[in-house]
Amino acid sequence: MTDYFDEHAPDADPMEQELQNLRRLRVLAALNGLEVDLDAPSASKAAIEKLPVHVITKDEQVECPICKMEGEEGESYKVLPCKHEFHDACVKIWLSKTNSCPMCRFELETDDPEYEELRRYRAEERQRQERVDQLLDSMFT
Amino acid sequence: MANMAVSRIKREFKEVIKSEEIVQCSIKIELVNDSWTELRGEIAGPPDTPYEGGKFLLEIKVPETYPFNPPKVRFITKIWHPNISSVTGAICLDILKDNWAAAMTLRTVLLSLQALLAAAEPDDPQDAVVASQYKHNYSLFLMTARHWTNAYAGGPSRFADCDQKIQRLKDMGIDEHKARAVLSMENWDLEKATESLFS
Repeated sequence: MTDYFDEHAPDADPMEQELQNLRRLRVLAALNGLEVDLDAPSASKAAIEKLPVHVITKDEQVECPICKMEGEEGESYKVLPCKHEFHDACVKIWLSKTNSCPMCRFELETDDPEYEELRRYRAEERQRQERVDQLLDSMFT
Repeated sequence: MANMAVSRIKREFKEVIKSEEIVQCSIKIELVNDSWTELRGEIAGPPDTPYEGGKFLLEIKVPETYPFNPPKVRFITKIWHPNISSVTGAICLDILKDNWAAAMTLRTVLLSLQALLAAAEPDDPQDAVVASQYKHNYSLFLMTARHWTNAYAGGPSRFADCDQKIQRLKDMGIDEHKARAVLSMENWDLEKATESLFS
């Protein structure tokens, strides 16, 4: 009996496939300017690995915004591109849940191709808006 | 409860106690049990809102995974607000759900709730009835919210008309809160409220 089902099982889990399709649809909706809630996936392992490390020296006063403990000499902090820094262990837990800075929501790269497409689109959109603003500023000053 | 959650809550507790807001009596926080998993918050209704003069109690439950997941917060004090359930006190606020960030604290949560009282978002409602009243009959919404603030949170404004209508329903054997809730839902139309209660 189990053999029968094994033989006829499709390659991918249909539920998984459905979810993937749904996600794809939501990204498309977002790309077309509709407001949809999309859960941000975790940051990619590679992106986390690439983050520079800051080892706390004797006279530095730093507080990890996640555990709110003061940094002690010799502890390693990870520095995000937005310059916010956190205990290595603390920020790893957070970034395995979601891809943004706990302080300012700066977004790191993810392993999710759909989400990446949306993230790039949003970044381009921001840049475009900045260029338009600059142009308008230069016209009227 | 995980160690990190407890140690962070303890630090935050101190932060709130030392904060400026506590001096101004605008936010407060208390322990409910010894395990630091459940706390009681209090926020003052912001000035120039129908919640002014009221004190609103909050139930705060800290998950084991805090601060990687948000605290669970609910209004204990009954309140008439589009983003807060008038029945359960459940709150619709993005930072308590998907928009939580690990650097947020109990203090920032309480201040955000205070800001929510000052700026409702009727297009993202928790209580559809309240939201609809807010959008279609704003002056009636203001009166109802003030009346609730007076009845449950110690606010200053009394409305004789509301009290009278509630008394009429009480005379028919209806519990006071039930009478207030139904009248509020029916835009203080006594006839409609009676109908919805007895049909």
